[in-house]
Amino acid sequence: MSTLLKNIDTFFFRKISAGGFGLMRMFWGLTILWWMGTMYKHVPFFFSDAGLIPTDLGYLSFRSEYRFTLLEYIVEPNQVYMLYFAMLIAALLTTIGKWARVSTTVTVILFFSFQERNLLPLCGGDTVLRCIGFMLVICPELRAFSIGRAVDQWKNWQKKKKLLPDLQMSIWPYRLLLWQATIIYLFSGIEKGLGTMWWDGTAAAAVYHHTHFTMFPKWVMDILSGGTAIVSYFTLIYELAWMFILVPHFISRRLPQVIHPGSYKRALLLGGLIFHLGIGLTMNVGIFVVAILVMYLGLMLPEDWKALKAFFNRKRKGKTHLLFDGHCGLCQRSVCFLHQMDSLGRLDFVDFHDEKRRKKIDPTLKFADLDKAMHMKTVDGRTEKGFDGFRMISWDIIWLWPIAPLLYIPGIPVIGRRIYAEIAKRRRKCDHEGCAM
Amino acid sequence: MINHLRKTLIVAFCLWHVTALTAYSVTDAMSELNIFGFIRNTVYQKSRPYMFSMSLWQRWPLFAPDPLRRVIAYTFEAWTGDSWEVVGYIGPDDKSAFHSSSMLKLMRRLDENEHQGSLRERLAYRTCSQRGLLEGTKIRVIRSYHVIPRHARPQSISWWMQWEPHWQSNEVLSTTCPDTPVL
Repeated sequence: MSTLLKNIDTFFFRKISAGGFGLMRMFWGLTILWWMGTMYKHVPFFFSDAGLIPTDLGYLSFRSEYRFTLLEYIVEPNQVYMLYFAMLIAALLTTIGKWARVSTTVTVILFFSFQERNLLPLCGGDTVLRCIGFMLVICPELRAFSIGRAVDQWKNWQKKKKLLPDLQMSIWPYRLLLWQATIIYLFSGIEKGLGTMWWDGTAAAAVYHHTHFTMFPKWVMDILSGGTAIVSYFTLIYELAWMFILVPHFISRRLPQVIHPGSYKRALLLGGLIFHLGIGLTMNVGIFVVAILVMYLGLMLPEDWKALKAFFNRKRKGKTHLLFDGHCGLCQRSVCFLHQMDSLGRLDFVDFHDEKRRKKIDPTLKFADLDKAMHMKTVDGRTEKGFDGFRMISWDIIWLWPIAPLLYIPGIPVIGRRIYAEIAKRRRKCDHEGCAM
Repeated sequence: MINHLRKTLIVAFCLWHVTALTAYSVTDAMSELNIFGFIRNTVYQKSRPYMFSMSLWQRWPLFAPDPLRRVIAYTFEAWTGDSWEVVGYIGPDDKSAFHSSSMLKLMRRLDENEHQGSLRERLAYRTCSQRGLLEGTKIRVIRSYHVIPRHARPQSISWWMQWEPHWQSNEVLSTTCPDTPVL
């Protein structure tokens, strides 16, 4: 009995990193901001009494029971717009994690209110966003990847020169999210299996020629239709494959191991990434693809992040050393910030005042040079400094990947070097909280 | 003690949530299968208040059991005094704007439900407002559609290249622009 209780306790309350749900919160907020933000000009039409469904025609569309929406009371276009902007602001705060718990809850209430006001334009992506929103509200820890957390990290860095350990949470919200994902795929697969076209291998060609969804001209979709059988069967097999995630470990470990033990979910997520990117590139299915990929973030456990990190770092022989001025407040702040963004763990931060370490990394580096700019030295001996160093390590920091290519645009390096030199020159005037420019 | 109680409540909630979610998500077609029919019959009614109240209602017949094959488009035409002029369009050729998928979904839902004729009329009124048509201007909605063929086996690329949709049209609504604009 006690073993059973212990197993139940582990199953629901094992501690995991809250990073996955933190990331999911961040991208969920961003998705709501983008998806609802682009609806700006349709707001009165979709959601007010002056639009498609005035309250007196609500009986044609509204659910008659258990329906809660603030837009039942707020019906005038201007008032609806105010609520709409409140939702966008809340979504922005959710994204950056300002008052994460409150802002997420407010976004959920407002987003759900808009969804419940008019069911007619909603698609699968809207439903996925609602499901994620619900999971976030009930999740006990939402502060990972938030502004508040960054401030806490900075305070700790000032005192101890190291980051706080990962925020932890019980695993049960992850389990519920995994069940939600399984329902989506498995039930969709079973429903497809009840038809005939997916089995005949003709379904994908029909989808490719449904011009409500296709994004390319007919001749492109004609060519793609040559692979209809493969795509149809892949879809069926992929969706039904989610049923095996329900097989408990004590059974699955006795079965023939086709893939690396414990990596079945990762294989499904990778398959899903390919599957949904394929859909996203060829079809217009609203917000569905983005919403599903946002959900994947919450499905990543620490061991999954570790495996992903190992994959990205598989060709690296060591870390890049970043030599900074440990006596300068601005440098400390920058290093703390870079440390938090170093998700792939590729950087080694070294205070160049630590002579022993400095000489171990590169005895030829001169103090006077180091005092002028941060130096970065890779494991293969390449040394860059200042703006060029930042540009080099921007490829090591996953969060900087979107801007990394931009740093090579002609003109940007010239401006970047100048700005860097000016800041470096004045950095002594900075303390931990600000700079006198 | 309080910790045990808290944990028990969380486990109970998780079990309830999983059961309710599963029962609610079973579609009519799936409930023909014994296992899903049983789940749906025993829990569905009990799960509805929870699923609705929490806005968790969901079904996942994505392109299933067979993909949608009817392609529709709505053309809005206004009477200019001597002829009908096209003043609005919702359909596959209009994907320029954001949320075209939302508008297309809206149109498909209105098209599927005949009892929502009043809402279709509101859609026509919106075109009046957008185009600044005067009160009393005659406006009509032409519904065009074609059906993607269904085959027992996959067709070749050349077959699809030769295939052209066979559009058919009919008038589904005729009305006049109202005095109150629909935004």
